[in-house]
Amino acid sequence: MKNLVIEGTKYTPEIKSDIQKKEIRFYGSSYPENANEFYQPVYEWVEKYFEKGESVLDVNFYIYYFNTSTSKCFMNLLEILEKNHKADHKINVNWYYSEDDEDSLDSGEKLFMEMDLNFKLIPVDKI
Amino acid sequence: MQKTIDQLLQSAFIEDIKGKTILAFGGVVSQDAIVGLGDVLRSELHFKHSLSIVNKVFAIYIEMTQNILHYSNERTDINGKSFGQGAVMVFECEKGYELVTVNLISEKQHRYLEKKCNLINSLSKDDLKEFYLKRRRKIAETDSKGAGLGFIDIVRRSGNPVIFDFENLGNSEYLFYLRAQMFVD
Repeated sequence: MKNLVIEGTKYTPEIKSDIQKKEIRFYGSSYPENANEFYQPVYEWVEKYFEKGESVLDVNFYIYYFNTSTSKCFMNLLEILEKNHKADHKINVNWYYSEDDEDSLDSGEKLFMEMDLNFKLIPVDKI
Repeated sequence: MQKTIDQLLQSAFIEDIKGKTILAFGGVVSQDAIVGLGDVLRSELHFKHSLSIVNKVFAIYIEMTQNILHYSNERTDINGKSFGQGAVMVFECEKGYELVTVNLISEKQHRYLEKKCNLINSLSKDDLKEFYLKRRRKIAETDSKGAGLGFIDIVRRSGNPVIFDFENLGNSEYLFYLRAQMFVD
């Protein structure tokens, strides 16, 4: 299985997986023109990762800003992770938020509401 | 057919806004235009405000302009892609910022938006959060780009109800005026 490599732009995050380290990370801002289309390969990669027999994954979000259509996509992604968590896979999600931005924590918190997942909200100086 | 920016400038909808125009654009609201103008807006705000305020205004700007991109009833096709047309203006006022957009909508969109905006304006902060979560769950099951969530986000981030108006143009077409007020302490 290949690593997922999506280079970042001003309005889409860099998304990179590291199968060796059992990690996937999101870095940047997310307000694509078509969020559903943009995140499709990510859903597919994560589904495949567990189908191939992997059972541990750290998911790190360093997201500076995301729009509402992205929040819908993050929900879809977290639901895929939730499904795998319930299947006894070890998934840790870290959501890094900017201490200087009051909406940053709020937006992160809301994503994980109603989710059955191991997650941490971690304050950082700057994303 | 529309010159939306001219209409916006002349409309009664923005008559009472007293402030400096820091951004004005009318035409094809492509993703490139949104990103480029967004940069201009960010750097303008950055000189005066904390990151928190900059991000709030920016987030409201993104939701309002992407609404035009996806849902304006006046559309232009460029290289097989469809873009909405409309206009956006940002004012710097004594109390903070005002963001205004206008675009063409259909009769059906008019009914939907009127209902949606009135509902969102009537909700308390807690109810708004509840409603947002409920909507998002529901929308996640469909193909929608997220219509409706954007309005909730605008009200939530700005801390104020949205101001809106419709102008009937005949032929089942309307102009949809939307205004968000973001006050800075």
